[in-house]
Amino acid sequence: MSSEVGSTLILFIAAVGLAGLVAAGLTGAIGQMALSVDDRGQSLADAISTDLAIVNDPNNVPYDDAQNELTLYVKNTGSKSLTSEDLLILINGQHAPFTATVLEHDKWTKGTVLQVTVDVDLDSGDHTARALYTPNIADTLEFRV
Amino acid sequence: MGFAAVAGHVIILVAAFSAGILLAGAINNSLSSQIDARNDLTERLTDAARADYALESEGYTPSTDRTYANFTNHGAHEIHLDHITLLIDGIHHAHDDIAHVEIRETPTSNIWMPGETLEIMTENQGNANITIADLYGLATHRRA
Repeated sequence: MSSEVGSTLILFIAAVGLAGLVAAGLTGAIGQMALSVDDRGQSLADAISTDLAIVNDPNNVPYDDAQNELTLYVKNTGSKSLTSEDLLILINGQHAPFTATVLEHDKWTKGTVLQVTVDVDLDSGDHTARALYTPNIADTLEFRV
Repeated sequence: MGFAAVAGHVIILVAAFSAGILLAGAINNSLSSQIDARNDLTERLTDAARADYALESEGYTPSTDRTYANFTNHGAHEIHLDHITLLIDGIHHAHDDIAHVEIRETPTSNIWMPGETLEIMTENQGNANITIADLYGLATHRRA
């Protein structure tokens, strides 16, 4: 009789333990999935809310040929604040180093302009500047110096 | 054995239910932030489509070295002057820097209403190119 109780108890513990493992695995996997869905939704929402435009006058893009410095004005035309650290500048398809300053404001918020000073050696003629914001928001300006 | 199986099933069911609630919450959050963002995008695109302004008159007076450009808001919605970017000869300037920026009909207002004219005048800049760009990046130019 006592051996029957013992074996039932062992079976019970084994069944509950197994169920606990399955339950932990299930909640863990679905928890990860939930986090991933949440992150994905937030990054899609961020991408939709992000936009920018290069607002230079294409006929009068400031270029200092002594310093090899091109000045671009990149306006935040989206709804969320942006940071210059997430901005890439391509000149004629080539990545170009730059420094950036927000004009008239502390942060690059909606409607404000980022002054981008690009170190690039340009010949006289037509060129293309592309401002690319992570991951795939971009604007292109064709200009002449 | 029967009791053990029932207990095991109950544990798995409770876990599945909790995980389901967790997932439903995440999906709800995700969809709600996307819907908010899409609504915002729709509003921005609609405003951009309804924005329309054009150079109405312009000129340069050599004796006073003044250049003026008057732009009329032909669009269907108002434009806040704080969101107007001003470039003179391609260089960004604050509105009160070297230019005179004023709405003709309501000089004290900061909101450029449909039908109103935005007057921009520069002094001592020669025959200047004047560019304005709105909140959506749409630009209009006065060429020297």
